[in-house]
Amino acid sequence: MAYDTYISSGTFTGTGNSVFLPFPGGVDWIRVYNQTALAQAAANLAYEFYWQTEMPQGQGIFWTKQGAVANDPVTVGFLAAGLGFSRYDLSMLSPGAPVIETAITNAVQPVVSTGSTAGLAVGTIVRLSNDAGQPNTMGIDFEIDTIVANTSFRVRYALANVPGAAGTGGFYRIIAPNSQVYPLFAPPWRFIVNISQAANAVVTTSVSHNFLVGDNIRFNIPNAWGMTQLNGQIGTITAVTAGTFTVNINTTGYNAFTYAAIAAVPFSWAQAIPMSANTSYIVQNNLYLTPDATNNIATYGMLLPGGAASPGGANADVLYWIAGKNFSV
Amino acid sequence: MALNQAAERLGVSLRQTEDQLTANMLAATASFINCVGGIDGDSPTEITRTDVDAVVRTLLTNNAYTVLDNIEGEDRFGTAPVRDAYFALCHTNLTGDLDAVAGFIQKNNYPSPMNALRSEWGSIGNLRFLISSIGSITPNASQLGNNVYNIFCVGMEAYAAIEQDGYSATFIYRPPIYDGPLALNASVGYKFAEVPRILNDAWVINLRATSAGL
Repeated sequence: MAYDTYISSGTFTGTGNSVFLPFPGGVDWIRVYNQTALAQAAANLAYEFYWQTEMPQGQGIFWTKQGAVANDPVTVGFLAAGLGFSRYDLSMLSPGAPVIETAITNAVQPVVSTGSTAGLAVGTIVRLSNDAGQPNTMGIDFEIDTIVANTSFRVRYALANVPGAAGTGGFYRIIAPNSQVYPLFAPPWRFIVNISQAANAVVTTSVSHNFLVGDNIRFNIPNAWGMTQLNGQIGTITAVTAGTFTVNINTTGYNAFTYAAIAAVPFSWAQAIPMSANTSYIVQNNLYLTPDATNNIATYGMLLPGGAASPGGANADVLYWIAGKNFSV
Repeated sequence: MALNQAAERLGVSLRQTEDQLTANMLAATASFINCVGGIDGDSPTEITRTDVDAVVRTLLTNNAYTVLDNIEGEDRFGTAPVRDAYFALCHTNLTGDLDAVAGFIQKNNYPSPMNALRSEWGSIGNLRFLISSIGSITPNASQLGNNVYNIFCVGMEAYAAIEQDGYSATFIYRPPIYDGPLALNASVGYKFAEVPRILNDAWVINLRATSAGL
């Protein structure tokens, strides 16, 4: 690697989740510096990460600063599988192999028991299937958090109510490393798992939605989901968090939104469908006017897992990266 | 001769690439209805007449224009008139399921089959089904982990493929003398820059189904 082969550089602030850096022309090496870790004095802070094309997927080299030791001595190691860099071609993204799950709790944030959590990270999107005990959560894509290694993971965003029964065993598949690259075109529709009854309804999606304030959203609410008065209505987003958005629709007098019951299977799903930007709202509120387009997000790129020991960094960490290509003369 | 064959294959590749991009866009952004009327034990189920009626009813309610005119009935044995229709774009794996739907009319039973499109399989109610080997599939997305087939039911001008800055597809040929100093190889290829986009979200519905036979 030589620095004069670099093609791109940049910075981002970590969220604790994985980060995808697009490199349309491909990338052969990448180096990441965690400024926040460098500035701290705690022990064993990984502050630098490196990967090149000959190294295995999901790994890389890392340097750790012994911040609590005099003169900050440095150690170096090789990242364990899944903690390092993974190169992706998003146009070829396909579901992972089925992995056995042995149980799913009957909770608003169901916990899925499994003997293998390989490849999972906070923010990973999974799809459950073949669990006869809890058929109403099958086939829906969920973002996950709270991973206990080779024991369990949890659905990240709470359902409106418990599914109705515990799962008794089936499969899960990894669908995408995070919502940033899911699916191929953006902005995409999202599954709705909860809607509040409020003057400005708060909508919870099954994976982080990536919608923006000012986006217009149309609602598809089939009968099994309760709040049918909202079906077909269009609202403008007035506030967002990663897994929720607030729309300017008063749902106070509507039926309560209910996560579809087991008895309703097979059913159609509640969806939020982004339509366009509300230009007048955006101008009135001095917001950034987003291009009213459907973007093909397929590209080559690099996935950086989140966490203090990974190149995606912990929440609020400030990171810098530089990447490049090999060349021959 | 070889150049003609290459150009022919590249032409097919170009249009298939356009189709795949459009299908990917519709799968990601169009609203959908799951088939629920079938008996295959999965969710969504295989396609049934009640599911087709639900889609047609929704498109009619949303004031979507039909794409094709009706085919008037004629006094011919075994034929039936065909309604004016929306397009339903789907995968070739669904042909057996379509055959089994109540009210299905194969295109050879149209009063004037010459009005059928080459890729058409038949019609059900106000949907005329066009099939393709690269029709859209969402893998392992059913309750039982089976593939889910996306059947895009579209009204007139529901979506478009928009050429960027008037940039249409270009076929490129560089003869050997321009392709290298020793004139050993020629290059042929195509490039295009266009974006598929839903124009009216109310006029396109993705009817999602599993296949009873697969």
